[in-house]
Amino acid sequence: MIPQKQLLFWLIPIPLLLAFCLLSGAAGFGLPDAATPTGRALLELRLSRIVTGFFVGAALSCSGCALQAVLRNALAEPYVLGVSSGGSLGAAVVIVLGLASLTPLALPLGAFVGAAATLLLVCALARRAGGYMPNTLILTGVVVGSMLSSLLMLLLSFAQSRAVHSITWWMLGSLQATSWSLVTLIAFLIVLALATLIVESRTLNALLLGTETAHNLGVRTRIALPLILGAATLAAAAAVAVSGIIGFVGLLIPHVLRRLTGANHRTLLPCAALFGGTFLVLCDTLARTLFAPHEIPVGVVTSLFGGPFFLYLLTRARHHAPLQGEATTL
Amino acid sequence: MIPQPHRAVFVGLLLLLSGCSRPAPQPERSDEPRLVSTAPNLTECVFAVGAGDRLVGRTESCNYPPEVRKIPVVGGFATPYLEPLLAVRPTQVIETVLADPDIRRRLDALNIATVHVPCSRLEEVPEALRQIGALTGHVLQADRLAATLRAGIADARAQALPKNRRPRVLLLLAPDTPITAGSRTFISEMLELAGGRTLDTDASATYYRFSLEWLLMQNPDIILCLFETPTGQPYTAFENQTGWDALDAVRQRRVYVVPNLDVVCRPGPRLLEGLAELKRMLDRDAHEHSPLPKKP
Repeated sequence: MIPQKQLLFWLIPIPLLLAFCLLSGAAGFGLPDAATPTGRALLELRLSRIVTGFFVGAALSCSGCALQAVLRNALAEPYVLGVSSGGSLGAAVVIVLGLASLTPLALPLGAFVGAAATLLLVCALARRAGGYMPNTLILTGVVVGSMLSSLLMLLLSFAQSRAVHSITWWMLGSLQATSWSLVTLIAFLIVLALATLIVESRTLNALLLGTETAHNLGVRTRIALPLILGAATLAAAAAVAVSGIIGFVGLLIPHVLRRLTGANHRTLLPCAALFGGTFLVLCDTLARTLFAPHEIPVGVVTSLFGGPFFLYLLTRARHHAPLQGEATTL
Repeated sequence: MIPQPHRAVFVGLLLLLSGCSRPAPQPERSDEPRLVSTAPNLTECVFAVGAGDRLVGRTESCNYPPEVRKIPVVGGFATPYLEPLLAVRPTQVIETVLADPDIRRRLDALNIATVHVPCSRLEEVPEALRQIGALTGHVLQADRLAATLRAGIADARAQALPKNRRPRVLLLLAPDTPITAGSRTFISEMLELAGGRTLDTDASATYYRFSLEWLLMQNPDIILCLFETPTGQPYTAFENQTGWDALDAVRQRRVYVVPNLDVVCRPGPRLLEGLAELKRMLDRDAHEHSPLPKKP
């Protein structure tokens, strides 16, 4: 664990890394010449990807932190409540119906509607099944998610091969947002959701001890739980809408940061936003430059590079003091 | 345990089902081949050589000529479904690519021959027609058609402008994901033959997702959309997309949608039609946008 005072030093490399990402691209390393139209377009393109990547990474990491705390499950991640399946189905319907070629906004809108509808459905079902109990929520989310995945598979098996390609690529995830208005809209939703989570940091800390204990500590769980779940999933849904399904960030970053900063959500959440965002931007930079002019799915990079680092932290921890506040119960 | 009345229904259903056997097979002449096609372009080839009556099974994607609708579907492109395929009692299955090569061994075991007909590149189409002609006993018609195609291809090649005077064209395969075709694909060969120039693509890849930065550096003259669009209107969706909006082709509205995708994308007997269609589009473009000397 890093002492609170040293944490500020860890923030210094972030702007440097982001600047490095702005300099690298398929067109070559270096700042594009802003005097030419092509150079301006290149710069705009990179900037758009970095901004999108940062917000999506921040959203997924914070959403993962909050869901791991609320559900008290180490395997919880932003997609655990079925957001990814719902979003994929929404996007697939838009692609199969041919609406994607009407307006570039159709695809993110379809994905967001699918994801949001899934969340509402899961929450309504879980509440009927006995309140927002962690295991009920997880089970409902997994079952609804797999039902929606089956519907998606059904759709895929009847779709034209061109549509199948588009759907598959969408599901692999990409941070290429179609327009700045979309980026602004998504960023607004994500900021709203993350602000809610950060305001509720104390509640999240209390919830780590269990819903009942939190209630006894004065947390109004009936209001706080849906609020946190809603905010965490709103962030995930916004991320899915703009970038498809990007795995591993939402699962990995919370665990890594909990090991580095501790489980206090008042520091954990802001750190998750900053480091998660930077991590995804870095991964995306690798994804778009490693095999240029090919682009590889960013999800491949997140798990290939993030995975070994996490395993290193995991094995190292055995020789050190046991970690406190690890959100692990099942 | 099934309740009594239900059990009666169940038994009744079983009896009903057991009555649903297939009518006895009719005797047929064994020398007549019964073909199953596993690709829409092969189906077109079979009909083009005049052997449409030999085809007893097709794929879901086969949609030309219109008569194919009467032929039962026995699989998707490159993925035959074994049971419906056996139901039409084929003697030969023709394929240009199979998703699961293992199916060949399974068909072998059932005494059904699998015939490989290479037909995915431009040069392969005339030979594929001849091969199918020989297979079905329509050698003359197949040879004639193959000769016509070869002559058409040779003509187009002779007419083609020198490379530096042709427009540089991006082949775009999806509206939502930037996917293009490598230079060694049928559609790229068609484009080159029709008087366009492919971009500096990755030659070894067939279809792949490209980076928008690469596209900006390439800055093509024309974008050719190879996907269905709901309206017949000019395609304008790129005009307000980050990155795309800086391309010359988008600014000058040189984004075209291919009206009849199948003739352009399918390596089959209609390739000269597709070539003519591409040529028409490029000619109209050249007419509207008088060729300005492009700055390097």
